[in-house]
Amino acid sequence: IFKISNMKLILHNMLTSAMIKGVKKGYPLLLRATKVELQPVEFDAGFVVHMLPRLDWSGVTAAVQCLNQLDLLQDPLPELPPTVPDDYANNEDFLRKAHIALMQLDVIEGCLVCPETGREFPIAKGIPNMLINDNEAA
Amino acid sequence: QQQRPAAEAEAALEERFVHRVYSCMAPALACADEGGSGGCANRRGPPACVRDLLRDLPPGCLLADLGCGHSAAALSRLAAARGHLAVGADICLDLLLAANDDWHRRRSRGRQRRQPLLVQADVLRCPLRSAAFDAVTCVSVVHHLASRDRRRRLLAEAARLLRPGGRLLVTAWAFEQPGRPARSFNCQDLLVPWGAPEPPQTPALPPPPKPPPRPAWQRRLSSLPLLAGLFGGGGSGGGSGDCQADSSDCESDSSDCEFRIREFPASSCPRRHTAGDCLCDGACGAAGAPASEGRRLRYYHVFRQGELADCARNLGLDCLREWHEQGNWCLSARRMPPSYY
Repeated sequence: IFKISNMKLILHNMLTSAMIKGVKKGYPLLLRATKVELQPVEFDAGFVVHMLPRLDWSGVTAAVQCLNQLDLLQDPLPELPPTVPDDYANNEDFLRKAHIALMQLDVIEGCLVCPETGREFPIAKGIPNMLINDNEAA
Repeated sequence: QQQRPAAEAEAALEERFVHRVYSCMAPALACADEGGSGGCANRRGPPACVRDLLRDLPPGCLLADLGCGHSAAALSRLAAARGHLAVGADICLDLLLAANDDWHRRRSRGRQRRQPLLVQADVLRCPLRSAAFDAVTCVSVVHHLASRDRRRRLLAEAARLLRPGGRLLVTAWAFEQPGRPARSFNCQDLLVPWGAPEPPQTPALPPPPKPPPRPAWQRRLSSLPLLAGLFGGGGSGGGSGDCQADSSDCESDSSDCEFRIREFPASSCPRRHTAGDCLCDGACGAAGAPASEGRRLRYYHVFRQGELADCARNLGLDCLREWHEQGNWCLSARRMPPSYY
């Protein structure tokens, strides 16, 4: 029996449906989660600082908004500013909020959805299945 | 749109002789990593070229590992030690679950940021954002693709994922094998039994003197389809007449076991055999190995020197270096800015 890990929002930030025929951008994927959980994960400010320029911040805010609307957590995720603040490297309050969203939020059940075609990608055992059929391929 | 018939055949070949095989072997691969005297590469983690890449990158990079397999957890751990984050993509769910399981068995408390980030995907239709990654690794994957077109598509996807200046590392099993004298496979497209000793190989040089005529039973043995090319029939396995191998190359004997290619890529079964986990027919000489119910064959296209760089041509990649490491060709390349291609 394999133990599983759950999907993190930092992974969601990387995923697109652009390999589907006709999709122009395919990002960010809608997060249709049905079960989520907050995990204790050690905060590493340096790591967050390095990762922030590599993320698509609009994808992060979209995912957090999605989840807060679904109202699956006891307390909503901390709200994030629409853009990364200029002083992010020294802004511990901001870094901690980003860390909670990116690293602590586990998507246990649900699916990812292409924003242009509505095509669903299930998340099974913590791993999103982004395989498509031959007739869907670009 | 429908694939061309040839493309369908290529995908079907990979499904049968790559994906299905790895799915079946995933539990054995996971257990082999438990330690002891197991022979699989991943017991020692990712290969040297990957370790070097992780060290060369400045701290805090984003890395995509295409065809990550069950060693995604090991790569993730290594990446985390340098502050990097690795995303692993593989078509085989069983291998990804094995990677997760591996992480669970080895993790220490409070280190959850090292959890492998995994996605089940076709690396030729990769669901990762373009130009988002500082580095892409593709270890022992491209040699499982059944046509040049598909191999190029994989490299094109890798190039797409890289930001300008980003680094690509690709490795593939080499046609030219180390040893004294140097040896090579007798053709480039092979079906390799899992766990059996490496396919018999002909010496690269010089060709032996013309042998006396062989009796009919030996001629039949030497045209075993196992080692012949898969397309166009026959291939160069002795049936075509210009292969210098004599029939004894096709029989497994103990001398084949002396010549063992090192475990990278992991095509050897663990030396420590327990009932059920060895699928070779005992020819590797392990004492007490059970008789096989059938050997699992894996498809490989082994690469000649320079072939990886040739495959990567005109994809916006600047090839930096190609080298031979433990029986594999490794290629390091850099993504050129868009104006260059």
